[in-house]
Amino acid sequence: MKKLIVFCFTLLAWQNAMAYRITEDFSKGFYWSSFPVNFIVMDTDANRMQMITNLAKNAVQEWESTITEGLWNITSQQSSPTSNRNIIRWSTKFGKETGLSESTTLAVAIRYTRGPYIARAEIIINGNHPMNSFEEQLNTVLVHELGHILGLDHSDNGQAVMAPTLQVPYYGLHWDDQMGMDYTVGETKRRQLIGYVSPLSSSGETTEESPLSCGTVDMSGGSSGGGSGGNPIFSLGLGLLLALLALKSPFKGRAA
Amino acid sequence: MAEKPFAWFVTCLLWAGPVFGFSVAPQINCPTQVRAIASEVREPEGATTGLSKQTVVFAIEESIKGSASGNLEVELLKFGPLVVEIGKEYLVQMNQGKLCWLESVE
Repeated sequence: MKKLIVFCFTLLAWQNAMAYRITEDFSKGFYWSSFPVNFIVMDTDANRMQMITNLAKNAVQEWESTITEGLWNITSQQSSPTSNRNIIRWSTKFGKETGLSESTTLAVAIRYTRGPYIARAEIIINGNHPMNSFEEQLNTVLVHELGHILGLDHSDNGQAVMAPTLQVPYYGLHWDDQMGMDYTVGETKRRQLIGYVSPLSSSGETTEESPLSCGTVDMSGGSSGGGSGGNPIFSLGLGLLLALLALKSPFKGRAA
Repeated sequence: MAEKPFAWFVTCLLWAGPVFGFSVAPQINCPTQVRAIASEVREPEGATTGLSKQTVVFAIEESIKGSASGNLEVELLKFGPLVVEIGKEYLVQMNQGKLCWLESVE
């Protein structure tokens, strides 16, 4: 019984300590064929295009300063968005275009696959949500969506930037985000090196692109800037402490 | 119960639930909530090289939560979706000095 308790608590603690998740397509074996992933900010409004470009570059810098450089490249083009490139765009018809709630969803990342690869991706920002009027929030939204682009799903850790809800204030990338990104980048590079073809990727013969794995970030205010999830280090410590207590417990297993 | 290790284990597990992340994230619930009227919109002086922003000054009418009073200054992205109208009433929520919600009160 003691061993079972120790095992369960360690498992629970470890599960929370490693709270990041991988998107379904990435875990099935789809990946970017090369880095950097080139994104173009496309907008007919020059001022808005510049604003999004600046924030997207900041978001890239934030990830790359903690992981490795050369993962994304951001440029801009003043034109209507096209559908054959990796684009970041602003949508004033967000709900209609994506089918998501305009009042709670701040942005969405959509990845399209072809053969074994993620062929292209699109980040659509909700142009009707008031919170996208604030530099810190919009910057955090872009950091979050760029994480989805490389294969990070929503984290179970409420303090991570990859948590499904946006936290205010934002304290920067959490170590859970860094661990998740380290894993996805490392795994992508490994697949690129060996030319990995997943058995789940339609035999590598698919020519049509198929959209996969939308990721969104909702809005949520936490009373202390936290939220669900808790501190993983604390959880790990607590789990081990409880396990230790269980080992030292004077109560012996006497079945009724 | 203390003599039944399994019951003890389950109790500990339930107690530890929120710590392990089983709780649901709260909806908008920031510690400072006020009703305020937009009284001034300030444009930055001179040319800006970075992001274009504007500062909106809100005159607090009523503190719903927390103890904020007087004026509140909020910086907005100039080309974002929110257009603040002077004289209109807004619900403003803050957490540790950072804005976490802003909406007009109809």
